[in-house]
Amino acid sequence: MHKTRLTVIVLFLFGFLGSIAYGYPPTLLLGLQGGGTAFESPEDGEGALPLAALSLLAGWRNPIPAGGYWGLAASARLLSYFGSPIVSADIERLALDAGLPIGRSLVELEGGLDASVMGDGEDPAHVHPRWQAGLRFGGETAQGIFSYRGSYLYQPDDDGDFLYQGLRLGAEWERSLRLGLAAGLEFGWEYWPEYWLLDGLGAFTGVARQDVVGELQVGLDGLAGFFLDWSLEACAGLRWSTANRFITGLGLEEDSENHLFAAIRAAADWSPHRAVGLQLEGFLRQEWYLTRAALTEAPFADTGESLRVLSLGMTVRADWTPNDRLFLVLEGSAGRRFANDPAEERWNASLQAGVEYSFP
Amino acid sequence: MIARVFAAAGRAQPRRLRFLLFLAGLLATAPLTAQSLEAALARGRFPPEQQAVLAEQFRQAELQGIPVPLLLPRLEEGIAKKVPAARLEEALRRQARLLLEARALLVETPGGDALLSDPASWARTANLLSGALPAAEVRLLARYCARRPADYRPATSLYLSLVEWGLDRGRAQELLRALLDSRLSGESFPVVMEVLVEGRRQRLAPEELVRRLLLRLPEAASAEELKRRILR
Repeated sequence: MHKTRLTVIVLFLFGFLGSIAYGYPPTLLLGLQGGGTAFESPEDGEGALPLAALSLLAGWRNPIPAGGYWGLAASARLLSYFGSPIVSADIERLALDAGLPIGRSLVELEGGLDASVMGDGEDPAHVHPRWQAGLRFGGETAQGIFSYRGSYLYQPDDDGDFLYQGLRLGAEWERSLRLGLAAGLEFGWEYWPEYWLLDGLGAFTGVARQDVVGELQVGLDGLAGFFLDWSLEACAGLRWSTANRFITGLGLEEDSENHLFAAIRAAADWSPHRAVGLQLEGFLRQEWYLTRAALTEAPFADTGESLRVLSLGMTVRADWTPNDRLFLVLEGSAGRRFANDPAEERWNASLQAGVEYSFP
Repeated sequence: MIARVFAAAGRAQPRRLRFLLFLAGLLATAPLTAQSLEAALARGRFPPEQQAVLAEQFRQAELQGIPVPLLLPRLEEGIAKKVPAARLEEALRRQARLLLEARALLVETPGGDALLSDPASWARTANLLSGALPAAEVRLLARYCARRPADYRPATSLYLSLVEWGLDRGRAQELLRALLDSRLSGESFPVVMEVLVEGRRQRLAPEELVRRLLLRLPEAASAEELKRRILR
């Protein structure tokens, strides 16, 4: 038993050190940004605040023999909004991925963790571990991908915890570097242990919410000429949930979370010179609720329409570097959510400038 | 008997056989190109004396061994842009000179006859000499590509892009050699641009990315695999 354990340790160390010798040096990036944000939402009202952000990112990619790889990426971002009082937010991410070739197939493993101690600006404090295992099979130009993915969102101060378990079947066709096509179908199940269904009087029944989500995804990407990379993704699907809600004065509304959705996302990344980078990203998402009523402002009244929500956003980033180490960064973003229910409407915009330093 | 002669010629002097086949191809297309030239000149609506001058330029070029199809695009381009005949004559003269320079360069380059036997590669060499690159660099690229003449255009296009993007010429040459030694096809060469753009977004220095590419290219089976193994 002792000998076996020793052998395992030796093999592990040998493999680990071997892959270090075979791999690349780790990368470390430190960023400091300042700027401002303007917003309007039903919860926070309307306002504008100066902000500062400090970020740290570390990455380590290591190829392993026979076409495999493993990588580790960790990042942390601390934001402070200088209002009265000062509000801070933080985002931490850890991701580990590996590709292990088996014959002509590739086993893809991923694990990760998103976390926030003070809240990330949108969601309260949380820990969100994710895990995924998949098999990529087929030839060089056309490949099939079958994967399982899971995650658990834990929010100590909120009842929005949920467990997700999903299966995805996809295909990718790399017609050329100019054009790649991808399509996928994903089905998932969610279990919300702290989100209990309500009875006709608005009291908890002790029965947890469960959702199923089906989604069809298609994507295009490619290289459009001189150092310009682009991608376009679209998806459409259905969320079918047991959740209900109780509205004071209106009573119990069943199936309040059931909805159809469709979304599109486009991105372009252009570097006209090694010193300059430009990125543009935009998205649009429409949700059509099947039974959830669109309400008027308080005191709530049913408008007679089902809720419809349209979210759209755009981010533009530009950077310049004199030496591939120090980067001057300018970033602007704007997002808007339109709905036929005032409680769902909001917008925000931000502009930030700063520096990033990539350690040798 | 004929098959045996060709087989023997193929074994003894494959380069000469390739060039003979190239000439045979040109002879076979000669009536067609003459018609194309006449049609292009007619389309240009030049006065008869200028038409004669232009036709003479083509004849002179042919006497020097420059096939009509290599000069014809320049004439057609000039006609489409409504360039005056005098300027067109000058452009054709310049193109003929570049083609002769390109031929001389390819003849001098070890393995260059493989490129010379392909009209598109010959024309490409002339284009590179027209100011895009110094002759010594064109010679170097031609030497690298001699084993893979079909990938001459994607390789030289990539090289020009890398240099214009700001990569050191020596690094770009190293990268090109590694690509031409790899299993990747010419149409996969732009993967280098993808890696540099994505790597730059991850704040990886281009020199580090080139180092990673040089390390992984010898074993890369596809462009996708290469990307997965280099970028985090």
